[in-house]
Amino acid sequence: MLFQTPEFLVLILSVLVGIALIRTHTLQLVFLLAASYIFYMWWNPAYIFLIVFSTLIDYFVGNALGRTDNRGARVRLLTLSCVANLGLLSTFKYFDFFTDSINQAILSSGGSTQLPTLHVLLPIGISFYTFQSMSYTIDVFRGKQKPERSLARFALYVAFFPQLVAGPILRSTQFLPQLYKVVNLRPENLRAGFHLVLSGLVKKLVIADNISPLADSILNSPQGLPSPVIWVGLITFAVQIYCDFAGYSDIARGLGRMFGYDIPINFNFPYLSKSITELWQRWHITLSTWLRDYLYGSLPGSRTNLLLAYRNLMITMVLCGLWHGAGWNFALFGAYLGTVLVIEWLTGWNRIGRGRRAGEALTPIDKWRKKILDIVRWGVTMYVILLGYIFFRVHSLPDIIYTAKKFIVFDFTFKFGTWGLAKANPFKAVMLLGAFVVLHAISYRMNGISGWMDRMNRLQQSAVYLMVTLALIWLWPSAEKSFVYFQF
Amino acid sequence: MLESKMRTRENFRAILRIFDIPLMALAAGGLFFLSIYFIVVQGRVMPVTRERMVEVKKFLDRQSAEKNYGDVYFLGSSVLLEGIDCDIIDRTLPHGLESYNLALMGAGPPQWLLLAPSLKRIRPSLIVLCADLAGITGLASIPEDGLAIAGWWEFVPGSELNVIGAYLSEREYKTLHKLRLLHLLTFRIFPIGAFDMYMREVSRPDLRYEGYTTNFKAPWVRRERISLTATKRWIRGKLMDVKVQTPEDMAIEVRIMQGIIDYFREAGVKVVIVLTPVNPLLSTDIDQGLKNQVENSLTDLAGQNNIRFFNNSNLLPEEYFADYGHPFESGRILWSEVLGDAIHGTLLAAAD
Repeated sequence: MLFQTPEFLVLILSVLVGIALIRTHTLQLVFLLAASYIFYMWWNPAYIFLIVFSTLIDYFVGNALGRTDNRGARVRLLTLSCVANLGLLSTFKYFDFFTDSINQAILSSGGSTQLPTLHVLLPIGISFYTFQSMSYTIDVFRGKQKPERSLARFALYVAFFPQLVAGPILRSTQFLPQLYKVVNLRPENLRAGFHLVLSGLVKKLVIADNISPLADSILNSPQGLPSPVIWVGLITFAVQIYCDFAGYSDIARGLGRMFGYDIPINFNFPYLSKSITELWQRWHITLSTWLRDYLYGSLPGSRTNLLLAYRNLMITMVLCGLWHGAGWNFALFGAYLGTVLVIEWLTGWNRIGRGRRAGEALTPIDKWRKKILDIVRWGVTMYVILLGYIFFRVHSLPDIIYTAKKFIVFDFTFKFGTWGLAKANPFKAVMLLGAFVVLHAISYRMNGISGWMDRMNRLQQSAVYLMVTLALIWLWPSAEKSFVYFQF
Repeated sequence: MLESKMRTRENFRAILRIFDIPLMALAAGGLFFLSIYFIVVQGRVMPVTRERMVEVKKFLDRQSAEKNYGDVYFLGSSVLLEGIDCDIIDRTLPHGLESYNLALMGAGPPQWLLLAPSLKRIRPSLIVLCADLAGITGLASIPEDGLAIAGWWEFVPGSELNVIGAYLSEREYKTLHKLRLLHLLTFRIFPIGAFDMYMREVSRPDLRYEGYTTNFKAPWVRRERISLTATKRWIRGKLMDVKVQTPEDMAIEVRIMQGIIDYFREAGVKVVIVLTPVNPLLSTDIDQGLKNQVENSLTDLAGQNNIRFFNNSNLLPEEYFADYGHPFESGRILWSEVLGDAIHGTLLAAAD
């Protein structure tokens, strides 16, 4: 079930009314859990068993961990949780990819034996909920989280519908305590939640879905296109993927807020970053912190040996790339980002400007120098990330090579009208890219558009609702499009 | 108990206190319908390709009102739109007769069908159906916005809906027939589409757009040929399109053409079929079996209906094309002359 469908509107209105009517906390939890399962089963009822399986394993492992102090037993229990969750993920997401790769290798070396593949449909959101569930058992193992006694509460933590299929990835330490409170609907929460939902819908439906045809028509078939078109394609894709994913996160956070739950922020103006290190701290924050806390930090030597730290960083980033999709291009994307991060660490690029003492006054020349340096650093960061998106978005090797070549060696061919991009409405897309830049700047100045709307008076709010609803009706895409991150 | 009752009451009070949100959404809906009516329906702010569709209908209604019977009308896609100059064709026609280019961008047999009722009313002496290779090999379903225009401006009157509807898909029929107010929802894509089309095509110095929407002689002229790299990219794209199309799609197209022939035959209007020129660059890359299949299907269709079929697919050399499939100036002149002679011959044969 997609957020932008009438079915979802019916679901969310029913859940709000249901929650308002239900008087006991336990029933509220069960009701929200049922709604979450219905939300997921709308897509594929059979795959609900995977969520239930993951939930049950981690619920019992968490409680078993709470009952024993024996180190060996605890390690075995944690291993059971990791194997179960990663086993699910490997089977449904990576099995066919690795088998196909082995089969290709066998064929190219002259062999004829072929390993069987599963050909199963990728369960939506599996990468998100397995990570979320697993983080609970790791936190219980580390003593950061008490085992959860209520199965309904734990199941809701794993499957809470607003963030179930594309994050943000919740931590048990953040979210489980919130599930102990009775849900009381409050007008300020409902309104603030609605503002976040509205902001997310604009990002997704007005910007991402309207510019995606241009990115698709350029990057699905880049051969023969000149450099300016390739650049437009990559910039469009960069904005599309940000608006798509950040839009989903905003909607998820807004829906959570309506019930009084705080879902953590997932994007913090990533495209204003001045290094890839900073970008990675602002982009999909709940995944990057998850990888930092549960993978990078757990690898031996990350905090003690610089060389091992670089190696671990590379391992983390390659796995992060593969988390995004079962394909060698995603692994390449991760390796590329890992290499850039290592270079930034080695050269100190990510630490430029940090050496200044607090309160130290800048001379006007220093201020200008800093501004220019910031612009240069921002430009370099954007160039590097756009180059990285080639691995992420362009799938075949010849196309990756062609696109990278045209991106790096600019050919100054500026005839836009003749490249068969008419169906993608390129000028509409470019206009919306401009709108994105303006909205993004306002959002940055106002510390978030939804927060700005929260602070408006009722008349101003009504005017904004009217304008945004009009924009949504005018620009609502004709074809329903899923969120890009669903495939991850 | 009392506390939980109070809580329920508070919960509903909270919901009621945000009631301005749905109210504003309703107001926005009303404002939308008003604005779309004035901007698109009255102000005609729409992409020129769609505006031309409305103008073709208005032109045919005018011809009917002025009793301009007996002329020759060409139906086709962008290949025809750019490919013929009716002033050249008129020179070969019997005195007093004129020809009109009613081609629409991307139009195939289903779109021609929408114009059939208006055409029937003016009893032309000849309808020329110009099928192009890329279009005929696949199912050229009518896009939603085209159907909305046809629905709003009543291209197909209620009395003809059953006859025409028999050749439309279920989706097409439903969209054409739906509540008029709902067509306005579809029109919302037009203002930005108009801006995009203006920037992309109308404002380009290498295209001539003057009078495009109301020019039914030689609507669109290219002033420059596009580069070979761009042409090759277009051809790759076209070949990909053709690859995913099935023989069943082509059979549906031919069935619709048969429907059009039957429809006009009942009204006593003659029809001829033309296979439009194909760029040799595309011709060499396209599956020859497929090309033969198209040629055979159209030959059979013409044979079964005892009408003429002119295969112009090999008429023009590569340098006579502006891009992968649209004739350039020299191509337009040559094809118009050839078509003029063919039509003249057909009209003479009919008179005999």
